Amino acid sequence: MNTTMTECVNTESQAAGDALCHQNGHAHRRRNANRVFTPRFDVWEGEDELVLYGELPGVAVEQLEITFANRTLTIEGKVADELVERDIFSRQYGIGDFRRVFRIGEAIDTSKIEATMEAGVLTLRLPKSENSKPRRISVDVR
Amino acid sequence: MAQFPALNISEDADNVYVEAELPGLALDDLNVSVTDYVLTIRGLRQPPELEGGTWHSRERFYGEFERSIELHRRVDAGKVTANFINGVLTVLLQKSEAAKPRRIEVSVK
Repeated sequence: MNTTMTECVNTESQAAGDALCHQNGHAHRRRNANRVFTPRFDVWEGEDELVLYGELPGVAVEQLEITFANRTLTIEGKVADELVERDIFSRQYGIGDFRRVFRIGEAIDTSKIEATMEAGVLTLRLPKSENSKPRRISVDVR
Repeated sequence: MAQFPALNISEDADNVYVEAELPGLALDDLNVSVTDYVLTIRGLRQPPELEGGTWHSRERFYGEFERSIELHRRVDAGKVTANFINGVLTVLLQKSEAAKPRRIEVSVK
């Protein structure tokens, strides 16, 4: 079951997002307008499904948009930064819009995709379509 | 790796706010303590339990963590509240009276 699979398409913005997310400075950083963050994901593949776990802390369900088309899974959203209302003493992570794109190698039964949010973690279950599962072929004897 | 979790610290006239992104943490696995000057956040993030299969990507951090920070204002350790919403921990620390800004009256003689 270890095929082509899932890859991150927007590697460039990932590098930029990571650099900002984990910068450990004490600058009085304001919101980076137009900055799009790349959330971290774990991707697991079992026999029947692909499961993605994405870190989307502080994201409400209404701010989240997930689409799957042409084997491309897109997870994105718009998040406003409310911290700027207060005096900032130290800023070690940024808040803002996010986007992540995966290309899915397996055929997926799109009508059965499930998405849930819990404690800032998105769990996406992508069941493989029947056609892409390994099948046993019975041989008739004549 | 930078220290985990990353913290955003802000303030207004009365309070200091410390925020941390801790997605996927169970409340029972999170411990916050405070003294006059030091805030400590301690916890454990458990990985999802899955049988067999293959991990194609593992970008998330699992395991134990502990982070202490020295606060830049003196706070009242008895008046600290914390909430955990959508994976974001917010600790609200009231400044002690001595640390609040005070208006000084100037008298004219």
